[in-house]
Amino acid sequence: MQDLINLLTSSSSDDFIGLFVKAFAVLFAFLYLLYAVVTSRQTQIMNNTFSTKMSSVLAVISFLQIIFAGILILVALFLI
Amino acid sequence: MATLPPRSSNFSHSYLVRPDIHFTSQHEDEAVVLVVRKHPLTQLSWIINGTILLLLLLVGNMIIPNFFNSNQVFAINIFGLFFIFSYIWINFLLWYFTVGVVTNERIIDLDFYNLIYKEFSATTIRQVSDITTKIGGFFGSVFNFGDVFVKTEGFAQNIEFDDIPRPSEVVKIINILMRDANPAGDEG
Repeated sequence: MQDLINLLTSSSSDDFIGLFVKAFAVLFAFLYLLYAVVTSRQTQIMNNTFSTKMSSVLAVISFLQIIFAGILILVALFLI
Repeated sequence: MATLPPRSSNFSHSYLVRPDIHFTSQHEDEAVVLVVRKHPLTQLSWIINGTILLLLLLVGNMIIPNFFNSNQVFAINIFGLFFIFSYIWINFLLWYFTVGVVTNERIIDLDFYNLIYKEFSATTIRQVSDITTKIGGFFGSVFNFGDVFVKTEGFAQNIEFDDIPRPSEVVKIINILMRDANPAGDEG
């Protein structure tokens, strides 16, 4: 904790911005994963409730978001 | 003697006659006659919001490179795009699955208020006592969309289709189905 405080207080402007962006990105990426899982599951439920010719397309797009969320987490952890 | 219209759909798929769809709790011999969604014009708010957000991201790209390095700019863009896509996708799903369904036996109102809350209301054609249509406002009058209220006898569920295209034709179809369900003419 002390290290973190030291880092925040002693870092240059660039470091601070970098840390802020990384923290925001990691948090957002995990929230997006949560959202993607919920969306995918709910799309399945919606498709079961009301199924059309488009159902499979909608389910695939919703599932793709989970993969995108994984990509976002990788970007947040390793690219920034 | 009026008959039900043939299979058809409009460009936005918000008014489908005899579509090839199935829904939960559909009976074996129950045929879907009509599926209605909200008129696309009523969805303009989130379409415009999504477009504005995209434009903001584009404008932001002219400013943020001054403050962040290239990796951070790339990440901000990726995150921004996914955020906008998810906003549009949720709203599209809610529009797509919030439907009114009329079958040869029942009238069903399926509402998805958000991703985790849905409401399924249904009534039989025989229980319908009164149908009211309401078209109001400039856009409703010009583009022919409005509300249809289906009232049922007693304490049974009342059904409401909001902002649907061609409300008068929906009422006409329900009236035909009511007449078929009550050949003696006692549909109320």
